[in-house]
Amino acid sequence: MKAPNTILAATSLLALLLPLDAAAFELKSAPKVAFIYASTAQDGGWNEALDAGRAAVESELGLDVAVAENIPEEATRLRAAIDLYVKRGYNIIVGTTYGYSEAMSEAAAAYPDVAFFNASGVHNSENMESFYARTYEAWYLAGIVAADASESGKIGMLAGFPVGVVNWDINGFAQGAKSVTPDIETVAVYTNSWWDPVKEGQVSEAILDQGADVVATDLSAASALNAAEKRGAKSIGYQLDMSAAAPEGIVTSVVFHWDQYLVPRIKAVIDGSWEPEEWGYFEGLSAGVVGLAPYGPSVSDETKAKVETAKAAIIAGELAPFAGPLSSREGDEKVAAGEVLSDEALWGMDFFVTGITGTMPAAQE
Amino acid sequence: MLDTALLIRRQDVPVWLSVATYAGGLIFGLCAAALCLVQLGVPANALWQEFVVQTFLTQQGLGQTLTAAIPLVLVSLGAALSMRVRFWNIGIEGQLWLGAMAATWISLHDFGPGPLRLWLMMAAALVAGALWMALPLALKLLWNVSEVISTLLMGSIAFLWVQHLLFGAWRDAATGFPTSTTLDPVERLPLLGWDQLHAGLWIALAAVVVCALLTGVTRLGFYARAVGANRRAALASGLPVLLTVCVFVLGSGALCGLAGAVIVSGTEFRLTQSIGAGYLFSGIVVAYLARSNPLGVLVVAFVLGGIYTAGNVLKVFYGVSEAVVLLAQGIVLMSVLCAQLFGDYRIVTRRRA
Repeated sequence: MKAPNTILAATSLLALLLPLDAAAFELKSAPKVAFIYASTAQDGGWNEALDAGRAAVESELGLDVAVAENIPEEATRLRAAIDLYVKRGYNIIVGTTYGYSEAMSEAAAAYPDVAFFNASGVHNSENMESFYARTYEAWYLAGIVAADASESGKIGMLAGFPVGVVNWDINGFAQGAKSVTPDIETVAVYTNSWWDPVKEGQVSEAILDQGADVVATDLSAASALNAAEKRGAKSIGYQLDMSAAAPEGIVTSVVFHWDQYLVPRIKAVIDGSWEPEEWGYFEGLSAGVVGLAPYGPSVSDETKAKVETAKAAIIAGELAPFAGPLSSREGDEKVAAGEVLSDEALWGMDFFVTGITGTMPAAQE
Repeated sequence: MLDTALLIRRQDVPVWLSVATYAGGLIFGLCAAALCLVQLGVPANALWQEFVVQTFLTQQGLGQTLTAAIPLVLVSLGAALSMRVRFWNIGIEGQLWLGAMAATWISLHDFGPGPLRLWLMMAAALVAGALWMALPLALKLLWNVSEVISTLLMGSIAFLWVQHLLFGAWRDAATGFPTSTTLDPVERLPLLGWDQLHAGLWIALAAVVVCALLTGVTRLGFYARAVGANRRAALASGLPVLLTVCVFVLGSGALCGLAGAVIVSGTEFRLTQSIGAGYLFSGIVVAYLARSNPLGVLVVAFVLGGIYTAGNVLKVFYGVSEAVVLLAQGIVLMSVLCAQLFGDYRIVTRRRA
C-alpha cells in the first residue's frame, strides 16, 4: 500500500501546485478588445467571416471593439500596431492570419497581462491562444454534395498555397466525394495567391474546360463561382455563404461560425476563467465553428439526408475523414488501418489522397 | 497685356533655398493631408497629437519611426548610388530578397562560429545583392540591354526563388506554413533597449557615412558626378567610367541585399513571403527626394518612417482605411516633389509691352 500512497501524496501535491501553475488568465483592467486584419475586413471571405465574429462579440458582450485593417504581415508593422493598442489600455487582441504568428507570440511574451488570440496561428502560451477549425470535416460534407451534383464524374477545387490547412481541405473534399462516388476524379489547382479574383475566375474556367461540372473554391473571392455560374456549372463557396455570386448553380458553401468560438472565449477572459489551450483551439463540426451554408436550389433531399448522416457520424466520432487505411496517391501509406491521421500530421499534410489530379508545386523533397 | 512667366533654371541652388523649398513643400503637404483627414472625420485636435507628438516626440513613436527607417535608409542609399551614375535600379526588391535569402542560408546551415555568425550573414547578403545586380549590369555593359527591364525581371525571379524555397526545402516543417525556421538568438541583431529598435541602426548609419564619403570625398565620387552628368564626355576626358559604374551599381545591389539581411535578423527573425513588399517604391521616392545625397537620404527616410508610423496610428485608432492613408502619404510626397520646382527654377514674370 505504500506505493499508491506516495502516488496519492504526489498527486495531491500536484493538485496543490497546479492551480498556481496553470492559473486562469486574469485581466488587470477593464476589457478593451481590438481586432487586427491583414487586409480589409469586408473582403467577402476569410476576414469577413472573422469580422462577423467580431460583430457578435460587440453585440452579445456589449463591448466596443476596435478594428485595424491592412496591417501587413511584417513583424515591425504588426508589433507597432500592438504596441499602440497596449499602450492605450487594450488588453484583448485578436489577430487574423498565420503571418502574425511570430510577432504576436513575441508581443505576448512582452505583455503578459494582455490576452492574445490568433486565427490560424501556430503559437500558444499562458496568455496566447491560436485558433482554427477542422475545416476538412465540413469539406468532407461538401464533397458529398459535390459528388451527388456531378454528372460528369469529375469535380474541381481551386486553392491558394500548398500548406497543410489548404491541403486538408482538398483531401477532405475528395474523401467526401469518394464516399458517395468511389471513382470520382477531383481536379486540384493552386493559384499561388490568397487573393486574386481575376486569376481565380480563369482557373475556375480552366477546371471546367477539363470536364469538371462542379467547382469548389478554397479562397476568399467569389469570382470562381461567378465564372461557373456563367457556364451553367455547379459551384461551392467558402468562408461565408457565397450564394449571392451564383444563385442558380451554387450547391452550398463551407462556412465559419467564429462567433461560436470568439464570444465564449472573450467572455471567459473577462470572467477570469480563460485558460489557453496548450496546443491551440482546434475544433470542427461538433463545436459548430465550421459547417455548411444553406443548400442551393438544385440539391435533392436525398443528398441532404446523406450529409446529415455523415455529419452526425463525424460529430459522434464514428466517422473520420482521414481514417486508415489511407494512402497518398503515390501509394505511400499515411494512416494504418484502424487509426486516424494525427493532428500533427494534419498540419504538415503535404500529399494528395487518391482520386485527386493536378500537381502540388514545390512539394517537400 | 498678357503676362508671361518664364522658368529659368538656376545654375546654383543656395542651401537655404533648397532647405526652404523642402520645408515649405512638407508643411504644405502635411496641411493638405490634414485637411483631407479632417474632412473624413478624424478630429482636428487629434492630428497634431498623432502626427507630430506621437510620431516624433514620444519614445514609443520615435522608436517605431527609427525602426521603420532602418531598412528604408539602406534601400534608398542603394537606389541613390545607382541613380548617381544614371543606372535605374528597379530591382531593389529582388536584391533585397537575395540578401535575405543569403542571410537565412548562413543561419540555416550554422556556418561559422556563433559570434561571427551575424557578420557572416551581413557579408553574405552584401555579396548576394551585388551578384544579383551583376547580371543586369553585365547585360547593360555588353549589349546595352535596358536595366529598367532586366532589374525588374530579376526581381520577379528572386521572388519566385524565395517562394520555391519557402514552399520546399526551407519550409518550417513544424507548422507547414511557408516561413523558414526561427533564427537562433546569436543570429539576431541585438535590441537597443528601446522598443523594437535594433543594432541595424548602427549598420544604417555606417552605410550612410560610407556612402557620403564615397560620393562626397573620394575621387570615385567625383568621377560618378561626371558620369552622371554626361557619360560620353566623361569617357572622352579619359575618366575610368567602367570602374565607376561598376562600383556604384554593384554597391547599390549590395546595400539592398544588406537591407534584406537586416530585416531578417533585426525584426522578422525568419524568412517570410512578405518581407520585401513595398521597398521598391519607397526606396526610389526617398532617393529622388534626397537627390541621391546620402545625408539627405537619412533625413528623408526618417520623415517617411514617421509618415508610416503616423499612418499606422490612423489605421489603428481612427479606422482610417488603407486607401486614405496612402492618399495622405501621396499628398505629402507630391507636394514635396512639386516644391522642388521653386528651388530649381527662377520664375520671372514679364509684362508684355
